Amino acid sequence: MTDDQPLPPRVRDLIDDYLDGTLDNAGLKELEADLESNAAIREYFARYVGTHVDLGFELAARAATDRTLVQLRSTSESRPPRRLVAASLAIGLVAGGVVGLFAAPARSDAPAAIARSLALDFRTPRAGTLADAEGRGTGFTQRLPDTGGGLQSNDANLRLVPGGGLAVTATNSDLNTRFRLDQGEFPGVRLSDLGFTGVEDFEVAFTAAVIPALGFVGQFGVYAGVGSDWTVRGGLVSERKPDSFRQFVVNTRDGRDKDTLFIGLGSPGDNLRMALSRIAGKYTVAVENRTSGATTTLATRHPEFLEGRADLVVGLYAADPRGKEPTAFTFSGFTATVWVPGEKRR
Amino acid sequence: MDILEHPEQPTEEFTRLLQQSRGRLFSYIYALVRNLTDADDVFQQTALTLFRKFDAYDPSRDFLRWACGFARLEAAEFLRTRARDRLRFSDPLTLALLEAFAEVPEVEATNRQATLPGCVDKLTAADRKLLTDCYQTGADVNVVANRMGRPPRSVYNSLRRIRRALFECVERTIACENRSER
Repeated sequence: MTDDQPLPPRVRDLIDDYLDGTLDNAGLKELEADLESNAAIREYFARYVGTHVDLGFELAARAATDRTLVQLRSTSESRPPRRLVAASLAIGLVAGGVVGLFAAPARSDAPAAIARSLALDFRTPRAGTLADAEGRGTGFTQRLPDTGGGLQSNDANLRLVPGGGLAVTATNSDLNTRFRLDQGEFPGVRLSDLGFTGVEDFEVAFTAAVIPALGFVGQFGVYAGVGSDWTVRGGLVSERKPDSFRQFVVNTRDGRDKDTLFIGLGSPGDNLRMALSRIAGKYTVAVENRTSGATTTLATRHPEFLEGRADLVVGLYAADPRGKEPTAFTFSGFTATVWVPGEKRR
Repeated sequence: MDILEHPEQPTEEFTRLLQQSRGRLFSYIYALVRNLTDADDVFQQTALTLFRKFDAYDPSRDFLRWACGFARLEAAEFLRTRARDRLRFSDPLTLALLEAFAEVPEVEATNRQATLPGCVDKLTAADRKLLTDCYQTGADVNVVANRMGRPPRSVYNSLRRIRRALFECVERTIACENRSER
C-alpha cells in the first residue's frame, strides 16, 4: 500500500473496533501487525484518532452552548433574580468551573410550582423502608444504585436515635474510583416518587447536629445520581488538620471525581443545614451554619449526564475512606422536594 | 477524592509548549487508553509529571515527542493498575505510534480541529442526534441501542459510518485548502 492507495477495508474496521472497545484479542494482534509493518497505516491511525477526539470535544462544546442558551433564555424571560446563577454558569463554561458565593435563590419570587416534599425527622420508625441496626425503618426507600450491596438488611451503620435523629456511621468507601462501594452508606429516595420526570427543580437537604472528626478526605453530604458512577455530590470534606473541613461540590463521571470545587470553611458549627438543589437546571450546594447564620453556596460545572434523567436518586451520605475508627454523624432531619409546575410556590 | 497541592507555578515557556501540543498529546493518550474520561486523567497526570521534570527538558528537542514519552509511561501505568482487562498495544508499537502522532504538524492538527464543526453541520439531524447520544454523556452504546430499540451492532455500525464520513470530510476540506493555497 502507498499513500495514494486507500486503506484496506479490513484495517479500517479493525481500527473502528479498537476505538469502540469491541476488538477481541485476535483482532488486536492483527491490527498490531498492520500498524507495526506499515507507516502509512500508523499515519492514518494518528489522524483518525485525532478526528475522533476532536469530535468528542466538539459535541461537548455544542451541548454546553445549547444548555447555556436555554438557561439564559429561561432566566431572562421568567426568572430575573436568577441571572447571577446563569451568569455563573456561563463563566463556568469558559473557565471549566466556577465558585459562586451568592445568596440562595429566594423562593418567594419563583415561578408557579407545587412543592411535593418528603420529610423525615427520624422520630418514628417507618415500616417497609431501609432498616437500621435494630430493624426499624429509617424512612429512606432507596440506596444510590451500586452502593451498599454488602450491607446487611438490618444495617449496623444506621441507628434511629431516641427522641429523633438518625446516626449514620461513615464507612471506608468513596464514590471516587468506586472504592469499597459495597460498604458505601448512601441512603436516599427516588425523586420520581415525588412526581419528578427529569426536568423539574428539586432540592435535597438535611440538618445535622453532631459532626465528628474524620480522617483526611473523610466527608459527608448530599448527592443526586443515577448510580454510583454518575452523580453530583457536595458537602464537607475533612482536611489533614483535625476538625477542619472544606466545602466542596463534585461530579462523579464514570466512577471518577471530576470538576471538583473547594472552598475553605471556618467551622461547620454545631447546627448545620446542607442542601443540594437544581433550580432552573443549575446545581448548587449550600451549607448553612445555623450557629453563625452564614450560608455559602457552591455551583459547579453542569452535570450534563443527569440531564433529562427521571431515575434520579437523592440522599445523604457519610464516608471516611481513610478512617481508622468508626465515626457516626447524627442527622436530625431530611427533606426531598420536587417543584412540579402548575401553581405558585408557597 | 484527589486533593492535589502545587506550590510552584508553571513558567510561561512550559505553559506555551503544553498548550501548543495539548491536542496531539491528548490524542496520543486517547489512542492508548480509548476512553475520554481516562484520557483526561492520564493527561492531567502527564502534565504534572512534565511540569515537575521541565527543568530537565532540552529545548533543542521536540517538546511533543518528549511529552509523549512520559504520556506513554503514564498510560501504561494507568492500564496496568486501573484497567487491567482492557486490551492494549505492545510497548514497541506504542513507541512507533508516538512517532506517528508527533509527526502530525501543529498547523495541520489546528486546521483539522477548525474544519470539523463544518463537517458535523453537514450531517443529517438523525446522525447528529446519534453522535450526541453516544458521545455527549459518555453513554454506553449498548444503553443507547436499548433505548432506541436497535441492536448494539447496528448502532456501532452507524457510528463508524458517521465517523468515517466526518474524517473524509475533514480530509477533503484540508486537501482543498492546501491546493488553493498553492
